[in-house]
Order: sequence, then structure tokens, then C-alpha cells
Amino acid sequence: MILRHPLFWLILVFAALMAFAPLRANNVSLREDLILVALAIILASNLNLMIGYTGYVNFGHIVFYGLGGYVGLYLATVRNWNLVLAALAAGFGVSLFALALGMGILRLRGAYFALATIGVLQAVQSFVANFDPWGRSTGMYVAFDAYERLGGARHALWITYFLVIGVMALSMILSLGIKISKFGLGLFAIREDEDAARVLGVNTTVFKAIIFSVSAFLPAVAGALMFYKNGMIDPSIAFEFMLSLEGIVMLMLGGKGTVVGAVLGGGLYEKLRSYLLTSPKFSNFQLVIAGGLLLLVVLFAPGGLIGWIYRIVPRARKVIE
Amino acid sequence: MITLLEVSGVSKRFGGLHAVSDVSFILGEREIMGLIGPNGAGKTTLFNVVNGVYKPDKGTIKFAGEDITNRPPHQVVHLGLARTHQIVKPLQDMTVLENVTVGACFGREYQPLQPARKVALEVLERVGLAERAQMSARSLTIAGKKRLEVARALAARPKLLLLDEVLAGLNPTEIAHMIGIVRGIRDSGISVFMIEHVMQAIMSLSDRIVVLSFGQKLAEGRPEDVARDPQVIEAYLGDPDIAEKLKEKIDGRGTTG
Amino acid sequence: MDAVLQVEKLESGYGEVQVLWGITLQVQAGKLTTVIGANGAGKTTTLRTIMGSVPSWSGCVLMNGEDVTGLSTHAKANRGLVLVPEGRQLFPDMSVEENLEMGAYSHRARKRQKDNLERVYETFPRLKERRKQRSCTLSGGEQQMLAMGRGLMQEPAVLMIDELSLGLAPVLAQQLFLTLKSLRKQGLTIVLVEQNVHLALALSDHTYVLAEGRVEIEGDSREVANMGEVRRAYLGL
Repeated sequence: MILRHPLFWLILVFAALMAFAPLRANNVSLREDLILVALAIILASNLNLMIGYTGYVNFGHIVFYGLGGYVGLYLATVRNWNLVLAALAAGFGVSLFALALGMGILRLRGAYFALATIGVLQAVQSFVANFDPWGRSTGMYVAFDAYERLGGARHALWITYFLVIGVMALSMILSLGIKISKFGLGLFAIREDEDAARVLGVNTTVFKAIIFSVSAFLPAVAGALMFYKNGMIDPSIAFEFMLSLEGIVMLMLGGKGTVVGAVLGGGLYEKLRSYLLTSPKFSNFQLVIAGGLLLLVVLFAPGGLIGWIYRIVPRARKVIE
Repeated sequence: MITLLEVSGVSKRFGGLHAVSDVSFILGEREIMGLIGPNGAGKTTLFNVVNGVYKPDKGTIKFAGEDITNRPPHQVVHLGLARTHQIVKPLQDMTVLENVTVGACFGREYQPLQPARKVALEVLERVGLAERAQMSARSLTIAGKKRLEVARALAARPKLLLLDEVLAGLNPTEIAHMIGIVRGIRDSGISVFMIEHVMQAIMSLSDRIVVLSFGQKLAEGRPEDVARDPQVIEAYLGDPDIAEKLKEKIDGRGTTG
Repeated sequence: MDAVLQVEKLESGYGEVQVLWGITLQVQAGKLTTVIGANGAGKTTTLRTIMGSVPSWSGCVLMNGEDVTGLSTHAKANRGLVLVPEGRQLFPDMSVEENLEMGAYSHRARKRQKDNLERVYETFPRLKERRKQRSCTLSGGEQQMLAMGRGLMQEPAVLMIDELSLGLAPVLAQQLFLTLKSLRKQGLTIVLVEQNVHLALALSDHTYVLAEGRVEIEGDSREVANMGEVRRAYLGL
């Protein structure tokens, strides 16, 4: 049972710390830093479900985030829905989209699947850029008074922050829960040898469809919250391919297939990225460094940070999932 | 004898190649049936049709009374038909215990995780892999991997176990051990259908033998009878006619030049 | 009689799977030695290991008393150890003549290339007729002739042939076997792996029967022709 697992409680403590640290210090800039870290963890953790657990490399993962942003923003501002409801609707809507998409592309394997996901990302971006109700290439803005529903802009920013932290905690708990479940075992079997998994009785078609759909849910919710908070969305910032790639780098860095790996990778990479972006020397090299890191990890430490820890402290395997 | 598996008129083509042609036989409970035949005879293809990896072009497969002809593999194993592969497929980065737990989780009994682990440990004891339960599957020797493959299939609690060349690549000691395991499986009430090239082993293990050659059933019966069947002998040793004619030519010419 | 080729306790396999569990053979000069056995017994692996294309795990290969086990495949070819592989492995887009010329690639064979080419054409007139044709357009039997011809171009001291009759119509197989017989009469040492047991026993001087990677039976071919034992090696009963 997940409640007995020590990591579950650590996750709650971690989320609580992240939620209350900036609040206590009343530090808005810390909050803005941490929300990006939380977002990185959300994206990496859910991507982990596909890449780390099931062995299907999704290069277009950010499409769920972007679509969630669009649906959420649309419902919350144009349709004037309650933010939480809008975010949840975004989550369910995008999950359904993922389910339908999965029926088409999950029968592909390996590199073909990866290519298809890139194709999907580009196709969705093109579609949205031409979609009238969502502002075509200009996108949509949140009118300032939309924040009044949440008690004003300042208040709204804190609320969305806590909600995002909540989504982060859920992402981590979801990762852990699946990892120690029978469903997770079936996913790992698919990752190791899909044909053997079928012959052993795993309904691979259904399992893949479910996990693909599930991996879309929380990123979509996060997307709704983030873009609402930022006040605007347009196709180029919603569907940045680079963010998809960075998600993969984060995961590989931290250690794919583990709950903690996604957190470490997400957190560390996010810190690295913000340092690089603001540093006068390196701001143009951000992607070079990302690519270089990915190469190094894949060549020398395919298990990432956590894999390295497992090697030097074998007993850590039991505690750190 | 209660019929467990009934294969009727099964044919499977790949383009112009008739891999399996009109093969029929039945297999009963508590029986070890051997499947032999020269390379390319269609043995593994037949296994793949029986357990649902391929759909046959013609014919039907009935297992424990149910028609499983077009069922996918994961459903077939739920009904109690498990198999191993000629080239073993360990789940490499998972432990031995996890590998076998998968078998127990998704097999005929579809156990939840904790009970499945118990079943897995029992099965590991039976095949002699219990001390290696926490090792990664990747680190096993070929003999270990073969035992793992069998354990994983057994954990699914099948009524019929399909073994595809489970002795290939093993040394005599390992072969003897595996033969013991197979006998134990039959004695515990599970039927075994096995493809094998290690002739002495399969001849001594099997209650009955089916011989395939070029996709067709050549013979069926007790091992002693099959081994003396002239058609079977010819399938393995080749057409004696060519040799006869050649000898005539050589002798007729005196010294060939 | 000297053993031109001697193999002692040879062990090898593919990846983790061991196929040969200690093969010991002796090939006498000027004789036709055949290696038979059921599929999976290790016949092809034996030839490949002797040649070096499959690395040996232990044991040794001696040619005229010299230990050649560690030598590279082409170094062995240079000493006259020639393999006509299973499946022929011709160069499909090259002509018959070009394929034969490729046979004379090594130093040893290049000197007498022209003479050898003439001799091959004498032995296989069909090949001479089709000398300019691309080898992929030849029939199965002709391809087998070409593969043998290419082997002969290498000026073999020992010619090892893996599966002569496989996939060939009986008449063609007969023809090729008669050719082999005459080559042996001319003094060539031949090692033949063969599917058809009757043919193998009828043609050869000495026979080795392999089973499960070991030599089960060996001896003069006329004596081995006790089919009961051979059948047991193949069928276990």
C-alpha cells in the first residue's frame, strides 16, 4: 500500500516545504523560481511514465501541456469558468485526446513512435495557429479583471502557485503509486520486451493506451494553471519543441524509471537553465549545453543521477524509487 | 484420455512459403508430447499459431474445449496455455523475482502483486533459481535464463506448457537438470508440448511424438515407432535413392574421371 | 598417412550459447572426409570455427602439424584452407568470371590465376558458357558450381564444403558429387558437410557423425554405414 511507503510521506513533506517557503518569507521572486521548478518536476514525472516505465519515447510531450493551457485559458477567461474546474476540464479533455491519438500511434514502435510524436506536436501547433476561437497565431490574453474572481491579481498568483504545487505532489504520488503497483509491473514488462509481455498475458494495447492518456492529464492541468497565471498564450510558447526536448534531458539526467530521478533531474536542470539564461556569458549556449549533457548522460551514465547512486550504494534501491 | 488441445487442419502461409500445411493432432492431460522435424519444418510457426501470435489461414485450435483460433496471446495465457521461446526473452533490467512475478500477475490466475510474488518464489524454488531471485535477469547464464523462461511460464499456472527448444545450448548436466524439471511439471498435472532437437532427451521424455517436415505432419505416435518410421528416417537422413543412383553411376563407370 | 588437417577438442559457440563441446577430427591427405549429423549438431559451426569466422573458445586447429588456431581467416586461406560456405555467398552483381577471379584474391592463388581459371572451366563447362553472366541470374545448381569453382581458384590444400546438395535437384546433386569424386581422384583433400546421409556415406572415405556438438561416431565410411547407429545419432532411438 502506498501509504506505507516512506517516499509517499517524503513527497508530502517536500510539497509542503515548497508551498510554504515563499509564503513565509513573503518572497515573490522565490515563488516564481519555485513554480518553474515545480513545473519541471510535473513535466518530467509524467513523461517518465511513458519513457521510463513503458519504454516509449514521447518527443511531443509538451503538446499536452500546451493544449491544456489553451483549453484551460479558454474556459477560464472566455467562458468565465471557475479556474479549478477549467483546469480539470482541460485535464480530462486532453487525456481523451491522448487516448484517441494513442489508438493511432501506439501501434508504432521505437523510433517510428518517437517520430510520430514529433509530427503530432507540429500538427497541433499548426492547427491551433489557424484556429479562430483560440485566437489563431496571436493567441489569447487574460483580461486583467478576470483575476478579480480570485480576489485580485496578487492573490490569484498565490492561489495558482499552491494549485501547481498540488499538481506537482499529485504527479509524484502518481509516479510512485504506479511504480509499486501491478499495473506498473506490466508497464515495465512492456518496456523490457513487448512481445514477451503479450505472451505473458499483459494486454499491451490497453495498458499503453491507459498510460499514454494518464501521462497527459496532469501536464494539461498544469498547463491550464500556468498559462492562466502568465496571462497569455500563443502557439509558439504553448508548443515549444525545445521544452519537450528539455523534458527528456531532465529525465535522463535524474534517472528515468524512478520517481526521485524525475524530481532531481527536473529541479537541477531548471536551476541550471535559469542560471544559463540570466548569465551574460552562457545565455546563448543553453541548448548546446542541454544537448551536450544529454549526450554525456546517454553515453556514460544512462541511468542518470539515480542510476549512479544505485551503483555506489546498492541498498539505496530499496528506499529510493 | 481427456483432450486438452485440439489442432485441426491448421495451415499458415507467409507469402509463397507454406510454413504449416494442414496439421492436425490432439494432446491430452498429463501428457508430454514432443514435436520434432528437420530445420525449417514449421515447428515454431506451429507454436506461434497455437498460442495466438499468428492467426492461421485455415483450421482451428481448441483448448480445454474453447475455440482459441483467433485469440491474441494475452488471452490465450489467461485460459491456461503458456509458452517459452526458442531464443529466450528475459525482461533484462528486472530482477529474476520480478520476471516471474509478471508471469503470476498476468497468467491464468491474474494474481494481485503480493500473492503473485509468493507464487513466484515457490516457482523459483522448483526450478532452482531461488538464490538468484534478486539478481537482474541480464546477469544470468544461458542455463539460468532458460530456467527463468520456464519459471515465468509456470508462474502463470498453465494447464498446458509449450516449450520451444528449452535444452538448446545447455551442457549435459544442465540438460539432465532441465529434463528433471520437465518431468516434474508433467507429474504436477501440467501437460507439456515441446519442440526439441536434442533427440535422446525428447525421445526419452515424450509419451508421444509428432513429426513435421516441410510444414506437414509426417508421423505421429510413440517415440520407438516414430524413430523407425521410414518416412521419418528419410526426412532426417535424406533420400536414399540419390545415393543408390550415384553408386550405380560410379560403379558403372568403373573409375570416375 | 599424414593428417593434413587436425582438430583437437574444439569448443565454440555464439554469444553465450555453446554449440561445440570438444570436436576432434583428423582429415587425411587426398581423402574425402564427410561430417554428418542432425540440424543443430554443429556441422556448420565446426567448419566456421576451423576457418576462424567463429572464434574458438578452446581447443586447436593444426595444418600439417602447424598450429593455426590463432591465425586470422585470410591467413588460413593463404595456407590453403578453403571454405565453400553454406548458402554459397556469391557476389550477386558480379559476373561468373569476376566471382572466380575474386577466388584468386590471395597471394598464394594470384600467381596461377589464369591456369586455375582454365581448369575450373574444364571442370565446369556450364560456367564457361555463362562466364559473363551476373551470378545472381544463375540457377541453384550453377551457383553451387560457381561457389565450388571459386573455392578451387583459391588453390586449396584442403577444400571444405558446407552443404553441397541443399536445395538442389537430385540430378544436379549427383553431377556435383561426381565432380567431387573426380577432384578427389586428382589428389584434392576434401571435407564435406552433407545433409543427405546416404550420399555422404556412399561417396566419402571417412565419416564423422556429430550430435549435440560432439563426435558420436567416426570411422571408415563403409563401416559407419551400419545405419542403426547412425539413425540413433540422428533420432535418439
